[in-house]
Amino acid sequence: MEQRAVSAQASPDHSARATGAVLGIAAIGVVAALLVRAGWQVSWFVLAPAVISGTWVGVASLFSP
Amino acid sequence: MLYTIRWMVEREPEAERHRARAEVFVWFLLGGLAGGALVGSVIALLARTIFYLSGSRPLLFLGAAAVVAAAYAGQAAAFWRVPRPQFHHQVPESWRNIFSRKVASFLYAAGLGTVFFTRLSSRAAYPLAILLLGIGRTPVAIIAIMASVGLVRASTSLALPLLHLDRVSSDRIDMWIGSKHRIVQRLEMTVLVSVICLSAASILPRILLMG
Repeated sequence: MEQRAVSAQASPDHSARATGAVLGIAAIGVVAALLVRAGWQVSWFVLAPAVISGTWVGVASLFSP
Repeated sequence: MLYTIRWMVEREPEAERHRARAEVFVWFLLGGLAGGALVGSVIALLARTIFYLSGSRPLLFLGAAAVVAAAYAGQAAAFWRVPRPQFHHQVPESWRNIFSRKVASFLYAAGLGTVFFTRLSSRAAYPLAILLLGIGRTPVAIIAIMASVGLVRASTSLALPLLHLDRVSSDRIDMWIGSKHRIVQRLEMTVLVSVICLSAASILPRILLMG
């Protein structure tokens, strides 16, 4: 009984994490495809610092209130 | 941003939340992609104009990006002050009430995805802009890079369920952000120094060969 109650409580969290993970993987795929597309045209010496700084610009907003 | 997502999901009745969350995330990611592509197009237009006026000079812009990155690395280390020009407005929160859930998510993320038209959360945005202005010969690449930046920015919302922040109070989110302050500063410095080092590694051999 107790176990059933715990799993019923954990289920929404689990599905939320699963949704986040699936969408995260999809987003990584799209980002990789876009960067490969850019990599066909731009030399690595410009692309590398642009990708590093661009990725950080995106990630840093997570830590901004 | 984390507040917005949490609030948009939490205001729904319990039974609706799973669907609401998935919907908000999907439209948020699409909005980030669209906003990034939009600002990429604006930068591509500027870069293309520079390319027509002065030709292709990626090394010059690479050097300028390294200098700017060094200036902001010094600022991050509290050696000196450097102005940080930026738009101070953020995406209006009222959009969450005015528009439907899907439209609000899309527009909100599109606003965030425009990066340079919102408050900047990282100093690395400045060298990034200079690097992109130097590759006006390839405008599609600029749009692709900025679309990916917009998508990465929107994707950070996925951290809510993954870090178990979607069911906590705003104060707890504030505390979580505060607890990451030191590591964020270190990462910011690492990125700026990486830009300097990568730029120097590209420019110096060419200068030595010319000499």
